[in-house]
Amino acid sequence: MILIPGDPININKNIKVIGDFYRKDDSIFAKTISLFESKNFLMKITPLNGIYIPKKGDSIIGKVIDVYANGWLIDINSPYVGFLLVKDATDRFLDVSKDDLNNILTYGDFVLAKISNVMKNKIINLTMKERGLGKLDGGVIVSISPKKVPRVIGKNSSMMNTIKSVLNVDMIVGQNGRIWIRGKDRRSELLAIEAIKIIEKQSHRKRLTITIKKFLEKNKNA
Amino acid sequence: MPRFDGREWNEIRKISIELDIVPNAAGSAIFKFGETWALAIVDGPKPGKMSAGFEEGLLRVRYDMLPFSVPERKKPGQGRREIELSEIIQRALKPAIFLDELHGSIIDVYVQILNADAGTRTAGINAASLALALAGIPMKDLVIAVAVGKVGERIVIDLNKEEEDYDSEKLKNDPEKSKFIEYYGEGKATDIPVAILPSERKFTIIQLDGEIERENLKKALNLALEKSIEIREIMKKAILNKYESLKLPRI
Repeated sequence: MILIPGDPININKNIKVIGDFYRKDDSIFAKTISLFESKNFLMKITPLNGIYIPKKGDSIIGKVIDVYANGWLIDINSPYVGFLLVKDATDRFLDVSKDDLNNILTYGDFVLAKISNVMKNKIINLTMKERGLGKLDGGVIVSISPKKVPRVIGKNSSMMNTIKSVLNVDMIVGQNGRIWIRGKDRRSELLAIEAIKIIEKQSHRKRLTITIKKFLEKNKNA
Repeated sequence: MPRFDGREWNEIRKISIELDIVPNAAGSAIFKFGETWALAIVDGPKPGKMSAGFEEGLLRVRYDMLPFSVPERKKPGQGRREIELSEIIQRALKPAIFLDELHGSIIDVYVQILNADAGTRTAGINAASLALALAGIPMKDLVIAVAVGKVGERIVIDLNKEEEDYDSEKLKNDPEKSKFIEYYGEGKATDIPVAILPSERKFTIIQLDGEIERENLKKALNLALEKSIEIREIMKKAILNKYESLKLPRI
């Protein structure tokens, strides 16, 4: 069932409600256009569209939009911008008064980074000093609505693994709705993008993984 | 004997809604009250430039009319009227949005009137609240706007241009329209555009252009409250339709 902002939700005390909603007096209401599911003693309200609000510990794919003397300004597909300090980006010794930071990261580069700190006034600190994080070379980037990210990953990464195994591509999904794909050829990359766009549009439907698998297998050799 | 355009006194004009028409925008909608068409586009929330005032998001509204939206060409750009209406639409929408969850960000709403036949601000507010919902901005409820008023001596809803300009003195000399005086009664028209949060039964704006007695004002506002729930249902239906009409790819 789809709810729109202001729709009341019937609850009783035994049922736990998770997701996006607000309370007024004793009743709860939907806050965004969202999908409503109830199962046993759990009610789930999942927004169908929205923005990415940074959380500490999230892995995100960011784009370098400015280079400063001590770090980089990173667009994280959110109302707030991220900041990556030199010390969080590289283990190499750098003398910031002599070296050029553009040699490490420059305008338009995409990075896989983790959010290390969110300040009260929404200054976002990023870090790349963990395994697997760093600059993303080659491949293509697709942007989707951040609220659709859990669907693209699927239950226990089922959806992501389907795309990876059927098309034989590398794929990283950032929590902020950016997805990096690198395949052996451009064709499989494009097919993966097409599949992701279908997931984004159809995210409120059931049994999507099977649909996507059939779609990919049919088009793979076409 | 019905109104100028054949409606009953408590009948709103035909509403039609189109959603997500601008692919590059976060959310967009066209809302039509009969011949009044409003397009609203939402951009954001996007990063604010200043960190001062980060406790709350900033909502900006720009209202404008296309030059050919009115019978006589309107000079392009914002004038006194457009600036004022931008502020009114902003005030109507603001109480519905959880701006404290979007600290330090900016939401831009552009309202463009494509065709005007009275009630442009109400159509604009309805279009804007649809576009905000589609952009995924957390809201208490859709803001529903509608105009009520007193034409002659009769309370009516959703006035059109002809009713807004009603003057029984002038109509007396018009052989075709003088018969309407019987229906509306003597006097001039009073226009009351209101915006409502239906779930709370609260008004976010009430404007009054003309004269009206206390009793009639109460009656008119109650009529608006009643009708706002009806309009909300139509808007909800349009949103649900959009999600249900998406077809799965052919396999």
